[in-house]
Formats: sequence, C-alpha cells, structure tokens
Amino acid sequence: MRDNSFIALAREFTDDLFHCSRCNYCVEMIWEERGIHHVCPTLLHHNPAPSYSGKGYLAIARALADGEEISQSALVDRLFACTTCGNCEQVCPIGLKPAQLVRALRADLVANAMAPPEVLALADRIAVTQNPSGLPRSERYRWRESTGYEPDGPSNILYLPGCSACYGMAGEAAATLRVLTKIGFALRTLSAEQDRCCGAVLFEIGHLEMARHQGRSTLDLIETSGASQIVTSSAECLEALRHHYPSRLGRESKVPVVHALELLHERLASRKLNSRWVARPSAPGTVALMDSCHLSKKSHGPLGEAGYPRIAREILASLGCRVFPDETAAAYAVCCGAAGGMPQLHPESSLRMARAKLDELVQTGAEAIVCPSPLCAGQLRQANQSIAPVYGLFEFIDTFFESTEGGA
Amino acid sequence: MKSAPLGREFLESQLPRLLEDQVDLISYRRDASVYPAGRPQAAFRATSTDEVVQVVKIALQRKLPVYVWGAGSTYAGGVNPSSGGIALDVSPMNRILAIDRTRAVVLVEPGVTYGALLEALRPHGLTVGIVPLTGPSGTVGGTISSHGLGTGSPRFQGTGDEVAGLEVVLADGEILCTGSAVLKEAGFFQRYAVGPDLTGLFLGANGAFGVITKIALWTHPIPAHVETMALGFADYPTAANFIAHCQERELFRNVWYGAGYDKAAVAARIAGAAPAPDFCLGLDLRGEPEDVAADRRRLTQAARGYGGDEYPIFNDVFFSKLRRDFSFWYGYAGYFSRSMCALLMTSMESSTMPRFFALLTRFRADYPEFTWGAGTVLCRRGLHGAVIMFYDEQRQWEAARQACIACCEHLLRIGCVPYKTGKVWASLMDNFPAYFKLLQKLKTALDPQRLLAPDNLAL
Repeated sequence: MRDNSFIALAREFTDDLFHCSRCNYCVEMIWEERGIHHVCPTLLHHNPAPSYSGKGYLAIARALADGEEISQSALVDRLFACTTCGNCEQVCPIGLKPAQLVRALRADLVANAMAPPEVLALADRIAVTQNPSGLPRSERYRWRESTGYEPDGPSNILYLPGCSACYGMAGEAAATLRVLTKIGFALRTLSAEQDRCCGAVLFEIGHLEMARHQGRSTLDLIETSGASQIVTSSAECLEALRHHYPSRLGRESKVPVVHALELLHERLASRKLNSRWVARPSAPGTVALMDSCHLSKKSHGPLGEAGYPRIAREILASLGCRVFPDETAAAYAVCCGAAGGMPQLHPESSLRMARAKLDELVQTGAEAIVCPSPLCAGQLRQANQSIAPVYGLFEFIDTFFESTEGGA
Repeated sequence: MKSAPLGREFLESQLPRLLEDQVDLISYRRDASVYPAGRPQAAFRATSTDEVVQVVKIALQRKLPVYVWGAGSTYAGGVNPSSGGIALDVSPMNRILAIDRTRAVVLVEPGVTYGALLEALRPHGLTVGIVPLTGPSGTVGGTISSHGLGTGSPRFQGTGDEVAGLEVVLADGEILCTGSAVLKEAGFFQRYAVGPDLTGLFLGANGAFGVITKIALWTHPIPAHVETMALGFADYPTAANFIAHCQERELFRNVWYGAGYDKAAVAARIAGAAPAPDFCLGLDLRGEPEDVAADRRRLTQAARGYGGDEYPIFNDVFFSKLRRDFSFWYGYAGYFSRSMCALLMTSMESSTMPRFFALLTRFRADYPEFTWGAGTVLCRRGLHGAVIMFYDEQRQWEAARQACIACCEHLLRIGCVPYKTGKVWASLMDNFPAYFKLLQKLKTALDPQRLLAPDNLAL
C-alpha cells in the first residue's frame, strides 16, 4: 500500500526506525536474574514470524517511511495482532517504542477506512451499549443490587468500576465497594443510564474518532457529577483518564482520579486503619499476583512508573500473604492476551495467551491467583479450566479476610 | 551472483510454510551492520534438521542462494541476503537436546539463545565457557557462525574453542557430524577424531560451507565466587607489556572477563571524579574465594611492576555494575543508544594494542563527522579489539560504510586480524592469498554452485 499520511506517520517515529540495532531482545529473551521469561505474547501464541514482533513492526514502518509498497491486508494482519502490552518497549535497552508505533499506525489504518471488521464491530457495540462486550446497558450495575449498598449520606467520591468489572468481574466491583467502605470511604456510583465506556479499548485499537468522543463525554460526565474524587478499579479507565485524555484530547480530568488500590494502600501504609483484617481459616497463604500490563509497563504512560506492582504486593503482604513472583518480574510479565483488542480480533490466540499465563502462575505453587485488574482477572477466569482459583484483588480480600472493626 | 527465478508454485508445494509476503521478508533483509541490505525472495522457519535438508536440496535444485538466520543480531552482514534467495531461519530449532554431565557436554540446536541455555544449565551447577557480549537473545548457532567471544574469553578464547562437535547439513543435503560424533555410537565428547578437525571449517564461516543444525558445547561448573577489579596504567605500552606478562605466566587463569578502556572511555565513566589513566583494564575474577583473592594480589603486584595499580573508582562506578546489572551484555547496557554503530572486530597480540589505540586517534581526526570509540577484550592468547563508529543511519549510511572499509585497511596494516568477517571485511580477503585460495577451493569442493551464504568471506 502507499498512502501519504501513513508514510508521514511512520516518519514521526524516525528516531525509532533508524535506531533499532536488531538485538532481538523484543523477539525472544530469557534473563533469569531480571525475571524475564520470554517477551512477546503474539510471537509465542499467535504467529512466530518476526514480522509480528517489535523489531518487525519497526522494520515495516521503516519500509513504509521509505515509500515501499506493502500489501494492505498483510499490514492490517500484522498491526492488529499486537496486544499493545508494551513488553517489547520494556525490554528495549535503548527505549524504542514499537507498541506505541503500532497504536499510531492502527489509528491511521482506521482513519483511512482500512480497519478490520472486528474493530468496526467493537466500535458499533460500544456506540449502542456503551460497553465493549455488547451486553445491555441496563445490566451495568446489576451487581450493586446484590451488595445492598447505599452510601451513608451524600458522598463526593465517585466510584467508576469500568466495563470490564461491571460486565466481566461483577464480584470484584462489589467487593471493591465493600472493602473501601469498610476502611472508611463513602462511595457513590453513577446510574446504569449515565455511566459509559471511557474509550480506552478504542484508543488501543486505533479508533481515535470514537475514542475521543467517548473520552469527551466521560469527562463531561465526571465534571458535572459534583464529585471531588474519582476512584476506579479499572487499569484501562485509569490509563484513559490519566494518559490518553491529556495526550490525545488535550484535556485533563478536573477531578482527581485514583486507582482503588491506592486508597487501600494509603490506609494500610499510613496505619490510619482502626480495623484489623483477620484471615478466615480458608485463606490461602501464598498467592500468585498477576500484574496488569497497564499498571506495570512504561508503554502505558505515567501508570507504568507509578509503582502499582509494589503497591499490590505490599497490600497482600500486609495481610500476611506470601506473594509470587517478585516485583522485578512484574515489569517484564508476558501479557495474558486481554489487551489491545486481542480477544475481539483473535479470540483463539487470546485464549492461548491466557492459558499460558495461567500455567505460568500455577507453576509458582501458589494457592490462589490474584489480579488487581478486572480485565485480566476476567480473561484468566474465561481461560480457567479449574486448574486454579482466580480472584480480583478486592474480591480476594473480601472473600478471605474479615474486618474486625470498622472505619478509619 | 544472480539467482534463478524462485519457482513459487514448486516451492509452495514443497515447503508449505514458506514466507513469501514482502511484509515478512522485510525482517530478513539485514543485520545491524553497515553492509547493505539484501532482498530475499522467500524465508523459511525450519524446525528440524530434516527441514533444513529439504530446503538445501530444493535450493540446489532451483539454484537459489541460502542465507542462514538466527537472531540476525550480528554486525558483519553475514546474514544479509545480498544475492537474494531463501533466508533460512533456524531460530525455531531451539531445543536443548541433552545435558550430558558425564561428558561435560550440552547438545543444542542452533536457535537456542544464551539466555535459555544458561537458565537450563544453572540448576545443574553448570555454565558454558563463552557467553557472548551481545546479550541473552543471541543464538548459539549465530554466535559460533560469526566467531563470538565474551565472558570466558580470558580462559577459553572464543566460542569456537568451546565447541566439541557439530551436525551440519552440507550443500548437497548430506548430513555430517564432526568430532567424535563421526561415529554415531560414540556421540559428542571430543573435537578431534579420525583425522583433521573439520568442526573448525564451519565456525566463523557465516554458513558458507554448511548449515549448522546441532552444536555440542563443553560445559563448566559455575564458579563459586565472583568479584571484579580495575587496574589503571599510565600508557598503552606498559599496559600491553603487563598483559603479555600475565598471559605468559597464566595469571589470568581465574579471569573470566577482561576489558580494556581508553582514557576517554574511562573519563566518561568516572565523570571527572579523578584524573583518568590512559588505559584501564576491568577484570572479572571467578573461582574458589581463596584462589581469586590470591590471583587478585598477584595481578595487582604485577601491575605495579609495570607502573600500574588498582583503580577502584572505575570498578565501583562502572565495571562492577556492568557485571552485576548487565552480565557484561553491552547491548542491554544501552551502549548503542546514541545512534547506530558499526563494529569492526579484530584480533591482535598485546604489543599491537598501542598502535590500535593510536589508530583510533587517527580515525577521529580523519572522520570527525562520526563519533568513535574502541575497546579491547582480553583473550586467553592475545586480545580482541573492537572499533566502534557511531553514525546517523538516516543521513550517514553510505559515508559510514566507506569509512569502515578504509578503517579496515588501516587495521590490517598494523597487524589487526579480521574477526567476525562476514561481508564487512570481504573486500580485503586478497590480503591473505594462500588462505583465501584454500577457502575458495574448499568452497568449490563443498558448494560448487556457491549457494550457501554467497558473498560471505568473499566466497
């Protein structure tokens, strides 16, 4: 294919295109001391050809920048096979950005009406139902009914669980509400009619026009909600609010946004808690923590460097759990296949990635798998063949620990 | 050479997993060298020796060149398909076939990376003699095909010296085992068997004489203790004399890695914290703690005899971290972050080192448009020297290539022998007439159609 805007876009990444020394780290690496055990989920579980790797994407973009003709179908196939997890950027010793390049090239393909049908179908589902899975909007907050939760009086803290929790990990959404309430936060939620997709997945798959629309409407919603703080348990929503909106909409949320983990950690770390958490007899003593790429890799803007893997480990350690693997490994963890539109574009490969992730976590010998990201937890649960119990982090706490006193 | 038409339908029928889409072939055009990219007509990711045989036989039948690919991370253009043909990617052949503790041999396929190999050997308390400096993603096949060296070189020299034997697919598709494995019942344990050493013919040859499909490497126990030190010298001649002195007396017997840095490199690392010596030698010692301590004392004493001494600041701020944080994997240490770099690899005996560094001064003066660096790596005998030229690939590619060829000629004149020859040094093969003539005869005998990696070593 030959397209001027595409070539111009590839040239925006000139520093990356002309600096790759083909060290192959983004293709395959095992470095035990660093906790690196393979790199790219797409190469491992979708297609092993180098054109599906970080190095390959840079080479393809270089060819485009040089004006070479490249078949459109092959280009679409390669660029929409990436999970955009950013592990290639994590291992790159000179800081090249192939995952960000993929996102940019995807956006250009979509803008030039070359998007694969799965991308358009996903966008349609979001437009109609305001969630990527296409489930009815009315079911978004059904989980809240089961909690019987009502805030004590007016609350200025707005809880946004995110689509992945509301539709795929409702137990985690409910547990987050319960646990945060127990440690002294009064939260409120939007109604099912109000809440909407933040557009995070649309940024990842390159549907920028609609992503911006979702972003603007989400920001409007937040700013008219009267909230003084937003709490989310979704890593993708957090990335949208803290990274995508400022960088791609030129608009920041006027209301501060935090991840639910931060509230819990702050209370535990500052010892503001009056409550004591006591493990129930059935509580697992060892857990395998599955780190979300959105919360642990530098490719995801400020989130990747905010220390979430450490925060999650400190929370679990404070409850008396032994946690595997250590924080170093978190930085290089191979993606579970939930991100970048992989489940929608290549469901079978996405499932293989999730199963491999499960196997890897089971091999730690831990009694349970705990995941701070509802998206990743839901992905693992879907792939689970009863080989190990998978919990969201708040769900884990809510299930196995009892608060003996309430309030902060 | 000009390759014959691919015969696509025929090939597709024979090799159903053939990669022909341009988008796939882009990744098989070049390594990181300044040598121009090639354009393969197809690529094939082989998973077994049988598949390699199949590709070689088809290539012979269709008169198609075959370039063998591992990670493709070399700096000599060896994998660049300058004559088109098939890029034969053996990286999927990545099984560790046997760890034979009795024979102290590990048998691997060529696509095994050093990261994977070290991980597999560690539970057995074992390592390999040479771990290349490029990083954990380099493949064993690629390293031995291009003459790798690195950690272990002061004890064992180069990767080729640690190969016990090979399985190779020859240009006619026949499978050859070298060393003791020439007798199937004996297997791999000894390099020399029956007659001359045929293993060496395929090491450093960039696939010009055959496609390596199995490699037997000797294993060694992981040393119990590791520590690093740095020695500073006022000038290159005394440092060179010190190295010769230590090599003669085998004082480097517990040194697993040694790297020499010129004044500019040292000054950059210590950031003006102290006056930099003209030459600094970082040493990584491994072994039983008492042996390491004794050798450290001996080395310091010997250095003092040549006007040198320990230079702890360089060890503290740089060299010890290069080991601890980066395992001497320079690529991972971000060495090449400023721009692309051309590496000219040479071997030299220690007395050549002062002239080697003097030449660097000349290169800097002759080609001020590039940023120059150089380093030496200690070997069991002699040194390895690398001239590093940083350049802007977008603007300076052709100028960098021309400068490299000129620099290679200068290096030859002072007694630096090409190492990692590939295609970068190929134009200078006439400097070794008898050697080159024999290589040509061997090529004619083994690969009369000149289909295996043509242009490497100017063959």
